[in-house]
Amino acid sequence: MNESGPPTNRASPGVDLRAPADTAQLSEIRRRVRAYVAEAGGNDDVADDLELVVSELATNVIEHTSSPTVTVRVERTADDWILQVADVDDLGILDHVELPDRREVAGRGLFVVAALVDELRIVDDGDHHALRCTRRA
Amino acid sequence: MQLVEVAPGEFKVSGEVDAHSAESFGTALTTVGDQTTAVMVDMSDVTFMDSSGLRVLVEAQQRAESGGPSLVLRSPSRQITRLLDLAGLTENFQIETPA
Repeated sequence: MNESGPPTNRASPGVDLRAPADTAQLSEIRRRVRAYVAEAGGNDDVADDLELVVSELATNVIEHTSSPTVTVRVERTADDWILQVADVDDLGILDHVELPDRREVAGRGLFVVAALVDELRIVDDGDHHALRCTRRA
Repeated sequence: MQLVEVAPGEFKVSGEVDAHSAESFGTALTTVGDQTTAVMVDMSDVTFMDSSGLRVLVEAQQRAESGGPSLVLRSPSRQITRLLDLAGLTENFQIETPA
């Protein structure tokens, strides 16, 4: 996994992670996000939440898009934790994120993400659309 | 992710359950379910689970409700308990938390 900009303080410029779109990379992606949260002063609750969010969204990219890479940015600003994942599929679902029936086997990932963060927004990340998740610090 | 039988019908899963390991978790649960009428899964050593793991558990519960082996989840971690709650599935499962 490539990365840049190791965090040094709370309102740091953040860290960029790029990994092959392979489920074998998920564990390392989560580990790096947890490490950033710890280094930037976040507690276990923040680490747990962002770890789950990035796992759900990276899985979405790997399983539902043709993107060859998973691209993640995580940043601590003065007020927020920002986690951004490029190329997430089916962003239109954000208009109506609903909990599926309990008998439904799949479809809970984005709902869980929406429940864990304070704001979900689609942003134009250069050539890609990205899903930007904001969690109040 | 590892699933090992610790007693007849009692299994312990450990490690991370995500999209990389969920298929083997599901296969293992299905296999053990073919050999018994009740499955107890100790989840105390699961260090991480996301909705890929939920999918496996929902499938196992559906088998239970369709006449397959009953399913009990023992000692899920705080992270899993919260995930079940966020996904609206807590009431879907029989959960055992030893005092």
